[in-house]
Amino acid sequence: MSDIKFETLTRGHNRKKFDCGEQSLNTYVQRYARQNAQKNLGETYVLINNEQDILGFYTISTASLDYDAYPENDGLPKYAIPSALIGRLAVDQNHQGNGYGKLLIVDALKRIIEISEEIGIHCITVDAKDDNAKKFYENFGFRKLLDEENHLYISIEKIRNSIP
Amino acid sequence: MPVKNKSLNMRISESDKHTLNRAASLLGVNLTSFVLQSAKNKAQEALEHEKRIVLTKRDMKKLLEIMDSTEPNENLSDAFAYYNETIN
Repeated sequence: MSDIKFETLTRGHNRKKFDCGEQSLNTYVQRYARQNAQKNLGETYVLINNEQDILGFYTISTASLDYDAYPENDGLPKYAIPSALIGRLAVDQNHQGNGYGKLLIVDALKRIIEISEEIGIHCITVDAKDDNAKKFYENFGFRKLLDEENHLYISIEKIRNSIP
Repeated sequence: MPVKNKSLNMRISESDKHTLNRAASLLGVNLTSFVLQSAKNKAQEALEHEKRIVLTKRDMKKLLEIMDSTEPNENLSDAFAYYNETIN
């Protein structure tokens, strides 16, 4: 197996070759990921091999978790809860079955833990578009809410305590 | 899978059309693809800004429960170990 490593997405990576089977995610890597990073709308990190092929990628940005009603005196937070958002995560079709999904999620969590110490984030949110994605994240301790269906959540403390 | 195209009709002023045409020809593309690409870029940008997740009251309670759950997850521990063996 050739060496693999994580880097911030750059022009030098073979973006055109990337195919995770989901056109919108392919287009994101190929066209929008770098633009968004330049506009501080979210950073994209890639797992690459020696040939600069993208084996998988994920994006990190922030999201605020807000409350749809006027706050009452019920012990619930009165302000939006800041959270780190893992917005997209995908492995190239030709490289599936190698455990790269695990590497991607761990790399994302490690980065978020580092920044959480500086900016006071207590919660991590992931986008989970379908049941497979939901199962993948639930396996690692992320949990669903009751009404909101597109994301799963985990506490920073749970991750810290899971680090071997 | 065959892609079925939809049409989008809109009325614009003579001078707007002139401006768009000039910009498109400057970039060597036709008016349609110029307008579409510009609008798509803007749409992408707008969607990226939409980072506020609105929760119902019972979801907010559920979220606080999740935040209180701090016991380690074994699969996550294994994934961290696998990462440390694989990536240096």
